[in-house]
Order: sequence, then structure tokens, then C-alpha cells
Amino acid sequence: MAVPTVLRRVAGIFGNTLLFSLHLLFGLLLCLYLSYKVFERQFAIDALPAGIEPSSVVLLSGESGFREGCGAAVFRLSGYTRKRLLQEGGAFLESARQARGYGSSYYSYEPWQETPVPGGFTSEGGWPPLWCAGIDTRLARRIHTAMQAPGAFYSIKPEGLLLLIPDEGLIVSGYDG
Amino acid sequence: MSTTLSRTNAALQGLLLGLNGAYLGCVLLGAFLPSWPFNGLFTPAAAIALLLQDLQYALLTSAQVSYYLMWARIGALALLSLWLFYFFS
Repeated sequence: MAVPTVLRRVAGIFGNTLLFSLHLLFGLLLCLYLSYKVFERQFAIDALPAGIEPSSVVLLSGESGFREGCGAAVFRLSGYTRKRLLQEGGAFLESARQARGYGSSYYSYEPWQETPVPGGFTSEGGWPPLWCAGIDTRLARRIHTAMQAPGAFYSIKPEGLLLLIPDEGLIVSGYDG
Repeated sequence: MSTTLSRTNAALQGLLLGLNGAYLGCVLLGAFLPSWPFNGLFTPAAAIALLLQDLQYALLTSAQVSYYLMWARIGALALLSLWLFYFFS
């Protein structure tokens, strides 16, 4: 293939080595980012109590500072978990009090309760973790509606709240702090 | 200074083309789904990488083009597999 003169000059000025290094750098950056996303996904799944099975990811995002962070993970409930929740309600969740992947008290959940959640969680015009996650407004509205009406279940953990919405088939985990 | 790419370099460039192209495709798809997030750093980085790719494409010999494109397909398939794993596994 003939190389256009201008590109030959560009290649001459910058050199193949520089272009190669830049490509490699961008490629490595992308691979690091993708690895982080996979790690973040696994971390969010491991923070869910055993017995609550997600089937797929809807949204996983947030903002983080030096030691603080704010964000949300939204999963679809597995068919089995959703069916059990609809049949047994809160009784199904009695033993789901500790994250499946972490044994520390930071990942332990308070007893499950039926919604509505206490007003403090949504008093600032919405639940802040959802906005930190850059959630789209339709999904946010569905979650806020479920938080403020009976039919869903929530449990509070240090700096976070886990919400199960059987009617929507969603698991919503938010953290702020 | 050489103005052609080695076979290994052509394969690597093809792989990176596939990864970056598929990643940007997934970001565009994410605009229609409430899921794969737009990332303010890595999305522009992938776009710049694709522009740089354009410079190096001209350095490929005709014999290397099919090899380059084969590796680009492998890169794209790898990223799409990761995307499917991320959301649906």
C-alpha cells in the first residue's frame, strides 16, 4: 500500500516508536479501566447478602473522593429470588443479614422492613446515591416511587441502604459516605 | 526510519483498534440503555486512540491489512464478550 506523502512526513517527525508507545498507553489505560469495571461489579455482588441473587446488571456507577464515595448498584432480581419474595414477603429475607463476600460489621445489614423508607432518605429531592450514579430519570422515578410506597423491602447498613423491589424485579444498593 | 509496521506491531495495533472501536460502540449503545456508563476520561482516550490508529493504518503494507483486520475482529469480540459478561453473567 502506498503511503501518502503527508503521512510519511508525520511518521518521520513523530516516529513509529512514539506512535506505538501512545497506542500502547491508550490500550493499557482502556484495559485497566475495563479490569476496574469487572472488579467493581464483583465487589457490588459480594456486598449483597447471601440468598439475594442478581441475574444481571442494570447500572453500576458512582463518584468517589479521597475516602468518601457515593453511588449505586442496580441489578435485576433473579427469577427465583423474585418469586420467593412475592410468595413469602419479608420472611424470606430474615436470614439475609450479612454480605456474601465480607464478614465485617460494615457489611452487615439491619433487620429487613417493608417500605416506605424513612423520610430522611428521600427528603433532599431524591435519594442522593442515585444522582451520584448518574441514573436516568425514568429509572430513578420507579425506584423513588417504590421507596415511598408499600410492597418493597429495605435494609440499612453502615453508610448504605439495600432495597428490593419485587414488582419491578430490581435490587438497588446505594451508598453515601 | 522505517515507515512500515512489523507483523507483531500490526497485530497489536489491530487488537487495540478492535478494543477501542468496540468500547466506543458500547458507550454509544449505553446512551440508549441505562447501563454501560460514559466515562469522562476513558471515552475521549479511546477516541484519541482511534484517531492515532488512522495515522498508523497508512503504514500497513497491503499484505498486513488482512492480518491487522483479523486482530481488530479479535479485539472487538473480546470486548463484546466482556460487555456481555459484565451485564448478563
